Amino acid sequence: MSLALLLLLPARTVANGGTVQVAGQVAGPYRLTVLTSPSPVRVGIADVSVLVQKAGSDDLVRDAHVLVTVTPPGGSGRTEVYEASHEMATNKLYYAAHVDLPAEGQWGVQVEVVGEMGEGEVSFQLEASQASPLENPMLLAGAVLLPLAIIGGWWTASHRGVQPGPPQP
Amino acid sequence: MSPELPAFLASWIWDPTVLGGLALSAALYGVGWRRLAQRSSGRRVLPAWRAWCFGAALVSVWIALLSPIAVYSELFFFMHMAQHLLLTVVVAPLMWLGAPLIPVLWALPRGLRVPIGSLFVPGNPLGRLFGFLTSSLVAMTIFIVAVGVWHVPPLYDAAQGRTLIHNTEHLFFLGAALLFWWPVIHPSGGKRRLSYGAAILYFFPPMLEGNLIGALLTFADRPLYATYLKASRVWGISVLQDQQLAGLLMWVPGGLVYAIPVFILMVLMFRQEQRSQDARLRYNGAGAARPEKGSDVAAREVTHHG
Repeated sequence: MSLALLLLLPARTVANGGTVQVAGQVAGPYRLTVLTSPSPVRVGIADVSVLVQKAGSDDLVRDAHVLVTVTPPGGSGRTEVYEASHEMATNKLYYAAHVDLPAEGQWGVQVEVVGEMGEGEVSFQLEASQASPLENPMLLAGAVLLPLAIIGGWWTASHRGVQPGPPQP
Repeated sequence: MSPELPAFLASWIWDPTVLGGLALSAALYGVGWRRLAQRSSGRRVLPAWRAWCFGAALVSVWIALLSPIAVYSELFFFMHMAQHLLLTVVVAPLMWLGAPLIPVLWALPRGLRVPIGSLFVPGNPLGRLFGFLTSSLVAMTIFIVAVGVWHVPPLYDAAQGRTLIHNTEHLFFLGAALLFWWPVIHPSGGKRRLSYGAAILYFFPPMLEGNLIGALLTFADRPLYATYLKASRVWGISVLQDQQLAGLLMWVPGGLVYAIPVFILMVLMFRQEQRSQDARLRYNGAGAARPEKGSDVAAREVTHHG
């Protein structure tokens, strides 16, 4: 059972995977791929990971300056700017930033890359929603273990004192 | 040296929850092991190699879930295949070779140990269910279906990027693999469900399935999974080359992994035959005499169960 939980728990922590928001889009001299996780994105902290390659090839650009700007739903509220870095990324090929999405709705995300070859940017909309109870590993574990515990307790209680074998003379 | 190699080697997932779970599993095993040894007055109830196998299983889980293999499985199909193979043909058999059920039960307080243990006694509901799921035909069928279904492209693609479904996929793989390996490794002791000969035959359907899927992936002339069409290409590996590598991985090393237990079972079966022959010779009063020429080895009854 603990092994099962181990397999379910990493769901929230594996970054640099997740959903492809921008797939190899050319932005100036670069080709950008942007992923977000968790999948789907929930209210709270989300990972925005950016892979920067040279436009027209698979060569990686490892020394660019990457900024991620998030705008709240409806354009109201404060725009936040985050610096993405290899250090924040799980996959060190990427630049990653952990952005705070404190409200539900469509957030505007802009990724800007500045490097020796020039500048480029891409934008997309990111839907943040409230987490489902199914995504809470503790609740999930309880939903599985509690019925087992009840069945086990009932079985043990109903068979307590029952001895196998023939009756004693 | 290409900067991409250091980036690969540095790409580990730091997940305290998973690491804590692995540490807890190791602690439970260790505490239970010690209690068993104390109860048996220092005599070793389980041989040390079983503890090593269980430790190796935990290390394999760590590699499958938290190493660069896990991180790069998002980019490369062959890395994802390596992850699945680790779970199904490395973690699962090592886990059962570690015989963890008794040590982990003994790690629990007595108040929990007895009721939880009694749930799985044959004849009790969970015991009956477990017995059914680990019967050879059912376990093999579940394993073959799990592997086959999750490799169907629409289902595979649906599981990627959707975290809960993706991890449910991994749970299915590991759960099905644990059921599959149970009748072969027989960690609970007692009466074997499969004779050595039957266990050898038991491996052929999943081996054939792995070979078939591996060959399909290797020789397909176009990418089959939309997931990897969308993934960024790095390391100079095209999406088709990535798929071919994944197919080769499943076909060759994946198939060889089944060959190892088949070989071991053949050795065990041969030894069992030898012991039966020796016992029969002693019983017949032949002592150290050599068996008659032309005796039909295949006609001798092999004592087996299941």
